[in-house]
Amino acid sequence: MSNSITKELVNSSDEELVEYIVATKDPQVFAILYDRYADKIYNKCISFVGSTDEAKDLTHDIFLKLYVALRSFKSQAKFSTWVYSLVYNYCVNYVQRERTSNKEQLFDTEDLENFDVEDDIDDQTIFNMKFDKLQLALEKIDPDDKMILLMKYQDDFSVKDICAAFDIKESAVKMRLQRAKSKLTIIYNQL
Amino acid sequence: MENPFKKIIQNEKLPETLKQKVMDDIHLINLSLNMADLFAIKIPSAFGDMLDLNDPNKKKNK
Repeated sequence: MSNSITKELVNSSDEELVEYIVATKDPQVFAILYDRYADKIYNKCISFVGSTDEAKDLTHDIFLKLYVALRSFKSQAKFSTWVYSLVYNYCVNYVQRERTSNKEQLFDTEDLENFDVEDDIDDQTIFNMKFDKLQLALEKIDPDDKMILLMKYQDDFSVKDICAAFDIKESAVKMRLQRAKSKLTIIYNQL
Repeated sequence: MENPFKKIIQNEKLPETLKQKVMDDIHLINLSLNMADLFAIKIPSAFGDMLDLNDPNKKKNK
């Protein structure tokens, strides 16, 4: 493909680029998407694995998965939401696999498995948390809970976006959010 | 009140070398897909067409 077409597409929306890449399989156009998302995806990976070397490998693998999966993107959803869902799922699976193979124990999750969801924890309680302590709590919480909390509070996903990302109902999303907030509060308070 | 989740976002930059590695691997994926397409679809289809042409009954029908 000529550089002039790449230049023309630089200002296109993500969704237009995806349509073009699916039709042409052009790596140069995929490079535009890469430039838009590389640092964001890399920093998400760091927040899950901690090490920059591991995060680089994860980012590399995620971009290859993304390229192969582009065909399955449905333009009803926002592309960035779809990308973040893919990144989160990839990171969560990776962390869970690593923890299982290292037999690493998370926070005392057995106690938390059967706990009752506390009364509605409002956003103010979350916003009152100190960021350094919150970071520690997020390292200890189950990756699934971390994922939904980051989607909601870091990436500003709406409940509808989360529904689309997980393909579950709104009530289930609200329940999972509530459980994640409760677990986070318990872990935070025990630090 | 400031959202503490926004404060824990990392601001690391991804090295440029990784982009080249991703692009090289994407070329390799494209090559694999094209090869699979060639051997699984195009060549069998070409043989199919050749056999059809050699079959006198089918020639008559056409």
